[in-house]
Amino acid sequence: MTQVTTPISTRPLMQVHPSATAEPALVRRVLTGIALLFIVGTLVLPLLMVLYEAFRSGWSVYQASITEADALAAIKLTLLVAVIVVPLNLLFGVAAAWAVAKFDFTGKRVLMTLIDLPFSVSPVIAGLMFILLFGTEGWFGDSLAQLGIQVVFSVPGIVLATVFVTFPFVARELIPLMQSQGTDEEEAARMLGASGWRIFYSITLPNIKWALLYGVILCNARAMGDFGAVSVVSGHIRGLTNTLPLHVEVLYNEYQFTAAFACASLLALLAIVTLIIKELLQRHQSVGR
Amino acid sequence: MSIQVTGLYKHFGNFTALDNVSIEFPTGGLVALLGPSGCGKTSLLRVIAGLERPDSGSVHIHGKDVSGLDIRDRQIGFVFQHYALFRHMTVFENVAFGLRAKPRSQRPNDTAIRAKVNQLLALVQLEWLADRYPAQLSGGQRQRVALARALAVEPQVLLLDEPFGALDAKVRKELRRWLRQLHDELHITSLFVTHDQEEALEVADHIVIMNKGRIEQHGTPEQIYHAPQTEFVYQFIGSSNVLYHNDHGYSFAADGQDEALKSYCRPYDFQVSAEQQHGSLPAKVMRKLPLGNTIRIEAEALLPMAESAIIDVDLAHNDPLLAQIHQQDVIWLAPRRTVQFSR
Ligand SMILES: Nc1ncnc2c1ncn2[C@@H]1O[C@H](COP(=O)(O)OP(=O)(O)OP(=O)(O)O)[C@@H](O)[C@H]1O
Ligand SMILES: [Mg+2]
Repeated sequence: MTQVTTPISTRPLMQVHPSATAEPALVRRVLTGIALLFIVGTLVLPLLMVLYEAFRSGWSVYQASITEADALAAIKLTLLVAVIVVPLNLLFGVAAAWAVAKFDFTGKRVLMTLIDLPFSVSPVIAGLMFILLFGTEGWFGDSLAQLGIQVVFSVPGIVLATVFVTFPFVARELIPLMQSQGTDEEEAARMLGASGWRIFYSITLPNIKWALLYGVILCNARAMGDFGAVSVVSGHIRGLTNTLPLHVEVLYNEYQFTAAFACASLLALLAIVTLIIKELLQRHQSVGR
Repeated sequence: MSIQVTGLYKHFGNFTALDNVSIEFPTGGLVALLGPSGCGKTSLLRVIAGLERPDSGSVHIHGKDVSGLDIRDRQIGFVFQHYALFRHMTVFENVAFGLRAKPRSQRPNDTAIRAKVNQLLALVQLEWLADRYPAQLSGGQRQRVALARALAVEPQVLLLDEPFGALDAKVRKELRRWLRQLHDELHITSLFVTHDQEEALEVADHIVIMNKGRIEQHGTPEQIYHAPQTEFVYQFIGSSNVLYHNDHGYSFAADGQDEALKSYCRPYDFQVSAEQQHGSLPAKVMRKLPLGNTIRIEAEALLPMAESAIIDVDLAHNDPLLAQIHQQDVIWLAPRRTVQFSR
């Protein structure tokens, strides 16, 4: 997936004092130039190339490429996975962050490490893990097969792998914030007679809403864009278990470059939209409440 | 409503925060819980409130055991050490929260809530700030919002954790007087934590002194101030000097004599003179501190020279002697009144 860094000047909370850097103007310009060149070369150009390749053969070819049956199936599957995974991880993430930030219990450290696990494990390993658990040779493979449930090489496996890979996004976004906010306000609400549920939705939730939204956006971007783990568990069955990133790879390997780039442009678009929303959210966060 | 706690123990790991605390707080009183930092004041308050579960012991409110009772049914108002206002709500919504959070059957309608909140904001003199957010208030204003918020649900008991802790001296003074007046109007049984002895003596009609998780003494401000029962209370409640008493009279250092009896003397309980008198001890004037009506003299004990001790001596600001003594002068001190505590 492509990432674009926002230029420093548009970032809130960051101030550059010209007098603090006393280097001559030439040095400054050269350094800035190198940085810009690097960003353009590694981030902006590839993104533009994707779009250029996608539209090279014209709009009608582009349209045909993304409305072709297998592409549509891939888009649908990607959306389906996101629709299942994001709410799940929203719930898991909030629950985990809530537990870690607001309570003291034995095993808290272990839980913290577990939350980070998906970030430190290669997605391919994550995929293999699910094969080992649920594949035909796997631990639960037989019992699941008897029940007529197929996990690996089918949608449940893709969902599981994606849940695993995207688990930390929401929790990681929330934990530091909730820890810094402490439990004072919740306790105050309790003393005022509020029920647990009421405390959550009228005290805790409003205090974390922007961070939560931010976490969800990132989680969604990854859920739609993940390749490694999904690639292992999906089995690459065209029109059935190919998500958009997998479909791009298949097309590319078959030398259907235009179609591959057309589908890739959709993912690039997702990345751009994600970044714009993220930027807007950060602005919101820094402005106030 | 009276609060009665019996045999409370609370441990954090190996640390004993509350060590067999038993005490009764009278109905309608304004009680100060006084003690040094870390002595367990907040812990006691939190146990009474139900925010913390004691390891053993019980809490009775108006004769009723509340140990098994949900926080909501204890009807306790709590003002937190750092206010804990809801940052995303306006002052009005903060105060209204407790009313809106009531179960549907007991919840007043919108007009009633509005009236009640406005009345409370008037009581704490903050009506004009109703639409502000907590971040836009001064410390003293936040404190009063926190108080109004706690009062909104008409608690039987009000617990205040260092209500003026984070404020500057002048605002503190104003607010504590104001709290006293408010209490005289509402007559809610109130318990407030402080580590400022002056504040406790000035505001409360009953003082409880805590140390290391235990209650050292409790009583009226007069009893605490004039009849401290333990060494700790005596030293905590005002400045004091340590003297040793033996067959020959007083001295500033124990000087290896086992029989020497440790005595305490308040700074204003010295007879001060510029010449040696019978039974007086020499000290060298280090500094003179103007404390308003009295002048405090910090003097270094001279004899015996065993250890260098700073002796505090208070003189009235118009004492003629003050003109005669300067830095580095030797003054002679004869204790007029001392206190001993048996061990
Ligand atoms: N959650 C906790 N975990 C571990 N130790 C705690 C906890 N809460 C309090 N303590 C310890 O218990 C002791 C008493 O704490 P408490 O907050 O009751 O003190 P305090 O009298 O209110 O002090 P202060 O005047 O500084 O607020 C302290 O030594 C503190 O370190
Ligand atoms: Mg405290």
